[in-house]
Amino acid sequence: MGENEVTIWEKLENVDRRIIYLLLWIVVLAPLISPLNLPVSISEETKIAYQYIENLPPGSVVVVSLDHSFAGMPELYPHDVAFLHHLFSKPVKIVIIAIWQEGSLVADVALKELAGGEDPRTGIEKIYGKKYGEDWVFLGWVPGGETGMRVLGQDMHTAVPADFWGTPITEFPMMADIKTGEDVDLLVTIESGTPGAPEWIRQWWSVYRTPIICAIVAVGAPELVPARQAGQLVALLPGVRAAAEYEQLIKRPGLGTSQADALSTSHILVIIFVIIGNIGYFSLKAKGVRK
Amino acid sequence: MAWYKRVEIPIIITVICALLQIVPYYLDVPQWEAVADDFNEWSLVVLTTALFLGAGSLYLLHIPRVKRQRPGWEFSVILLVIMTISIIAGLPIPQIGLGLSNDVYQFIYNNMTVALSSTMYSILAFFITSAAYRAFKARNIDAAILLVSGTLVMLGNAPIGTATWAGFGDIKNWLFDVPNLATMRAIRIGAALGTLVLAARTFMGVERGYFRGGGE
Amino acid sequence: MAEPIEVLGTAVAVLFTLAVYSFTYRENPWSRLAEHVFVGSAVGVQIAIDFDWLVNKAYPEWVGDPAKAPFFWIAILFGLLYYFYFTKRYFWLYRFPLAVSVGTGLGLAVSRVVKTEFVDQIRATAGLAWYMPDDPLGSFNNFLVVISLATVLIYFIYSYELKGSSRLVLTYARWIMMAGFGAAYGYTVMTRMSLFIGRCQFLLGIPPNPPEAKPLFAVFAIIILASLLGYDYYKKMKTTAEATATPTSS
Repeated sequence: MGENEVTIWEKLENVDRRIIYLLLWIVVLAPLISPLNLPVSISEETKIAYQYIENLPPGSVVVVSLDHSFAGMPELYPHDVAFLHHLFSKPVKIVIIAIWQEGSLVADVALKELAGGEDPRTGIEKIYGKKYGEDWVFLGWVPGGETGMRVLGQDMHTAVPADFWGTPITEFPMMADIKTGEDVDLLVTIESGTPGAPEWIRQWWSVYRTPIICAIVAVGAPELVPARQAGQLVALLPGVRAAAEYEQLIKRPGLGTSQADALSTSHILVIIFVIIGNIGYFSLKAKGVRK
Repeated sequence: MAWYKRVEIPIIITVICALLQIVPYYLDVPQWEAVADDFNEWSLVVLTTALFLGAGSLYLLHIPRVKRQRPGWEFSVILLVIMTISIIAGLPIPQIGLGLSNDVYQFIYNNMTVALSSTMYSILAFFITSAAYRAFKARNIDAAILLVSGTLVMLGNAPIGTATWAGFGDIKNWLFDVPNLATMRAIRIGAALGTLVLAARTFMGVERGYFRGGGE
Repeated sequence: MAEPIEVLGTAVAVLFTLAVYSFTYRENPWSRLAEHVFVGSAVGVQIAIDFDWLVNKAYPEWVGDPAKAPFFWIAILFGLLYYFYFTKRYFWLYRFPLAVSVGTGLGLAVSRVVKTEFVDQIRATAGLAWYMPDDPLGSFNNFLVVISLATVLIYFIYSYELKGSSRLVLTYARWIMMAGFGAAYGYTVMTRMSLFIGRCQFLLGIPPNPPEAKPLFAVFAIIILASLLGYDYYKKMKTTAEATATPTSS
């Protein structure tokens, strides 16, 4: 091979990026159209979260906060549905809120799905036997970000005077005994950014020592590892992979499980590109082409 | 400059509001804490009153563009129309059918805002893939460690990785729990120090960039 | 069977989704349309949500209590000072409500950051056991975390130059950070891929997404691709024709 001949690696170095994008479309669409049903192993962290909820004493108060927008739904909506389904199946009292404005609308979507398409206030009772106002309430958006979290912990009735549908909070029997963060036994936050778990830790864990389970977009998980190791979080569940694992534990496969195959193929594609790129780099370097 | 226009007055207000929140955390003064809590709720109403600032900025930017028919003015018209329609449709006047449950508002929200924001976040998948190919090279030891660590975590995250060999999950967990923990904890401690320094600079009036503007 | 308005809504969502993705081919009028619609709708929707909270949640709660009502109106009037942001002459008035917001937020964060981000983190690190006879790997990992944390902090905090063999500390810290950032990169890839997979699930009409999205995906993809490729081909032909027609000057 002559020195001036273009090697395959030089050709690959200059491949149009649109070819790469097309390959990504193919490896993602193909398993969604024709699932591969690859197995998903369950991590210890997901088991910890699952067991914690399983072991909640009857009558425990759980606050579920959907702290994400519609943009975070692909990763977090499976968590929303899985956690709500699991909690609705347990003899606990559930208060559903959202610190993000759109989170309350996402919660509405999730509740309607769990209620079989009906009004959640009646549909949840039909499916899970949980009566609205006595076993669970949906209070909607709590404005103010971290300030709102603080106000919520001090006096829930002031922070959210009415539920998502406008009914005064005082009309719900279960809320007579749930007024501050001290009355809450577990906080589940499903979040995609600020305000989120760090703010909850500052305003609730540091004040009331409320146990917190956090499901978060994968990109945000590394920053929360210190909090997890320091015991400020009971469990940290990153991304849709953890959602797929949780769906297996609660035996309710959903969107998380259906993403698993495409997640595998897309990751393998990135790894293949990394390998090819590096083989090309080193071979060109050996040839003396790389400056 | 008149004394009431000086930037020192808002700085003093900033310090007072901050101390109002800080002191009750460290000193047990119930009356102070009650005032701080009420002030918190009050400040939420103040903050929410700024809701039209974003729209005002967009009107000021795009209306001149349309008037002078600058390149792309047609898109500015679309932007202004969509924004105005969604504001009007979402006005909290249920007596005339407006509000968050208005059909036009719901249409714009569900089919434009939600779809577009989800897609905007997801487009980075393409750029990450092409960057992995073009830029993720083991040029030196540091880059090699970064590359190997990233690849092993990707193999641990992909279900097929742990299905092929469970060790990928263990390696991923180790990388998550040891180097990542040390790095992120150091960053958090550093960031906490930075926050304290920023607060100190704000209290001393050294940090006043957020008050700049207005041609002064 | 979906209602016509629902099908129209799905069509709009599919069109704008593909319009955004067309940016990966090159910047084009479809992607610019999507950008402008996104900005306009996002701002409009946010205003409606905030206004709704102010009128339907905050107003009844504050004005319903005679002792609190005057403070609500004071808050509104004070908050209106924000709008002097748009003036030059009275810009200084904008700084007052900004000072309240910044001060309150800063106070809330600072009061707790010392404990949760600093003391608790150091305490958690100091509490790591280095000698656990039942778990030698755990002991080693804890030891490694403490040493790595210390070296990374040295890397960040110390501002005088380390010389000689003490540079090994910096090298080790850099390697640990690279390993940590590599782990963070791996999770970033998972997030972005998940978001893209989620949009593909919508485009393919996989439940709970509307099934009518699938044929609309095919139709709009063909239209957008055809328009982009067709325009590029037309431009190429035009450029070639012009190059052929222009006489070369000697």
